[in-house]
Amino acid sequence: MAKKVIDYAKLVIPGGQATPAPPVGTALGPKGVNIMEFVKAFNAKTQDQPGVLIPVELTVYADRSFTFITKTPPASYLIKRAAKLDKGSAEPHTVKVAQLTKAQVQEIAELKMVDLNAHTVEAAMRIIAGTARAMGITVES
Amino acid sequence: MSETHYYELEIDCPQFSHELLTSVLQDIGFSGFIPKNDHLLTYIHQLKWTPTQADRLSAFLSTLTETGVLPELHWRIHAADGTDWVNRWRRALGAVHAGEHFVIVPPGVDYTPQPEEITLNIEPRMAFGTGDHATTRMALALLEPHAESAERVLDLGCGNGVLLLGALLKGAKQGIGIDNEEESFQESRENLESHGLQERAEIIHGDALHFSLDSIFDLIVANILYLPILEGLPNWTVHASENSCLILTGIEANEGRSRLDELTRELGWKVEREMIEQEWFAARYFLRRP
Repeated sequence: MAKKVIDYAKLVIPGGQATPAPPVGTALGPKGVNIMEFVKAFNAKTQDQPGVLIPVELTVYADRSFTFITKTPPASYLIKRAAKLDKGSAEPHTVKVAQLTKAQVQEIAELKMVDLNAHTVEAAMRIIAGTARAMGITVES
Repeated sequence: MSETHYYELEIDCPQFSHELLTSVLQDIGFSGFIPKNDHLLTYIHQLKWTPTQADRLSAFLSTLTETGVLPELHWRIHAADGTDWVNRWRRALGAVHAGEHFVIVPPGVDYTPQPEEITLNIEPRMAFGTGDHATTRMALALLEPHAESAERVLDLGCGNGVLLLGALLKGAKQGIGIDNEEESFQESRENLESHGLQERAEIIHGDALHFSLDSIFDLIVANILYLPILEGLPNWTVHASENSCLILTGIEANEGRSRLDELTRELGWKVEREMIEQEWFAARYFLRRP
């Protein structure tokens, strides 16, 4: 028989580097989830993506056991990866740190269209390009 | 007592914008996120929250507004709920037994040890090794029969030092623990001292995979993860000699272990015992060079 689901939780945390500090403890403690068990299992599953932000969705069952699934990293991470940056610009207005091609913007837009709530690829591309600019990354026009 | 010293940042924003904000907030120093329908919660250690970081946050949010990607976003920052959930969870479990004679007892839990039992008084904090994880218990069980005769123990990724402590209390003469996390470094040192073992062991704050020590160890334990184990094992083997005992865990039981089997064979480690508990794998090896 399927186990009874009592709760859900969503988190976005760095792959391979989760700790019981907030937000993990904050989100899972009140639900009665064994925090250390989750941390070890999540880090094991994401150890090949150290430091990469990974959205994770937990299902908590009546016996306090849990399962979780991981999703693709957020668009802002994909922008940084496409631009081969560790970090965005500390002063995005004045200091431009990289440039993306239109094809790169389109690729991220297509992958993330649904998550961005965009109805067309063009709309998603505008969001990606605007976010890139806010990170100090220019987009080829 | 451990207290959490975190600030909680709450940004009012539409759900899709989490995709855009999270990675940049991570650069600023925020550690992780709880996405909600109409806002985003994130956390930063109070020492990392400086005026510079606040300026970066404001600059980023206002640029997003100027480029027309998002409406003006309002945010608030305040002290995060300081409840120590790890401690609360662990205490509810009471004393935890591992192997034949080990008992891990958190403060505040009454426990009268039986004759021959070895008590590890460990306060559950941020570092790994509270005893509520199957890998900690399996590693203690596997090291127990070999600790008494060990001259030198090496604990890789020592967390709060629970395995090193267990080995020393069981009779191992000296030991070294290595961990790159600040919390683990602090907690393992405090645990050595509270058990009166600081003369017999030291903790190194550093890389547990690539290090060079001027000693050979006859008992080596590593409760980390599969990929770091594969990366560290060749160097660990340099610090072992014929008949050294190696205990590995932190590996998910359903993970294919062919690379581990291959590597241990190549380096001369013969597997002697394997265990599986709650979907986690642990094994004990001995070095038998051809």
